[in-house]
Amino acid sequence: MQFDVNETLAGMMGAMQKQFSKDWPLIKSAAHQFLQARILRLALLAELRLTGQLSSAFFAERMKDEQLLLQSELHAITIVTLAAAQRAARAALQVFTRAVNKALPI
Amino acid sequence: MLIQFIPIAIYPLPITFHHPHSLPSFSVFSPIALLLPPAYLPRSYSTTMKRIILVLLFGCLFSSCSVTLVPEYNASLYQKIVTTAARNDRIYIDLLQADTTHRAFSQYAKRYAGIETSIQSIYLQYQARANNSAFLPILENIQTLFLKFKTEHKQHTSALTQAEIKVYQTYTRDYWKPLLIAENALR
Repeated sequence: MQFDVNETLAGMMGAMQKQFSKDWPLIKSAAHQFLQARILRLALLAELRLTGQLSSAFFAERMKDEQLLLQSELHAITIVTLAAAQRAARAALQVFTRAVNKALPI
Repeated sequence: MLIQFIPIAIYPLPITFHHPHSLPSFSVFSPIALLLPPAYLPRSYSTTMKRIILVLLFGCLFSSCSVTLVPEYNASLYQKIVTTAARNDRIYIDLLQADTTHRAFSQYAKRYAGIETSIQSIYLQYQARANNSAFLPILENIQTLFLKFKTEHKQHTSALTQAEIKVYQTYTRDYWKPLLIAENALR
């Protein structure tokens, strides 16, 4: 059987798109969770500072910590995205392997 | 031999997409390209590009290649993270329940030391894993924040207030969350 490059590539792209659309909610959910946590955290911090329950020094330290948290959250989103890319690439390779096996004369 | 194969999904250069009808053409990085409507895709790769991809794929296929961008999911490590995060959270739950005379650092020093050891152990396990580059900064931030909160507790001249403990607890829960979400994404 003949090996059709264009058909195989189209199949691979399709498999990748399908896998990515399956993983997309995971990426969105991670970003949403981080955003929600940040809103709640900053609201708590503001409320406690405004009611005089936190010193300005304590408040300033937590603002510095926000940078580290943001950095960690961005790394986590990178990992979730890379995991999705890995699954998509494996799905594409599977399509490719199947196409090659099908084209091989037995 | 395990070759790290970088497929179309993470092709590092911008790819230009042409719409067959009237919509404008544009360039994007390829992971985003996968989310585009299919109408944009057909003319995106030249014949040379297709050949390069196929050569790479054949190379991969015959050298037992597997696409590896992140480490494999590790259930026992995930469990260890959950347990350590829970022990860390428990310190602040107990501090919130304790009256002001029972909030001295000395009463919690052993528990802090235990958690610090666990964090270090998790860090070492991650260092030994392949494709760990995005995980290590998250762990370093956990270590930094844990030690910072511990030092602040130790150096506090009076007892920690309810408000301060609540804030420490919130930040503690949130600095573990990225690691838990990231490890969970590997399943």
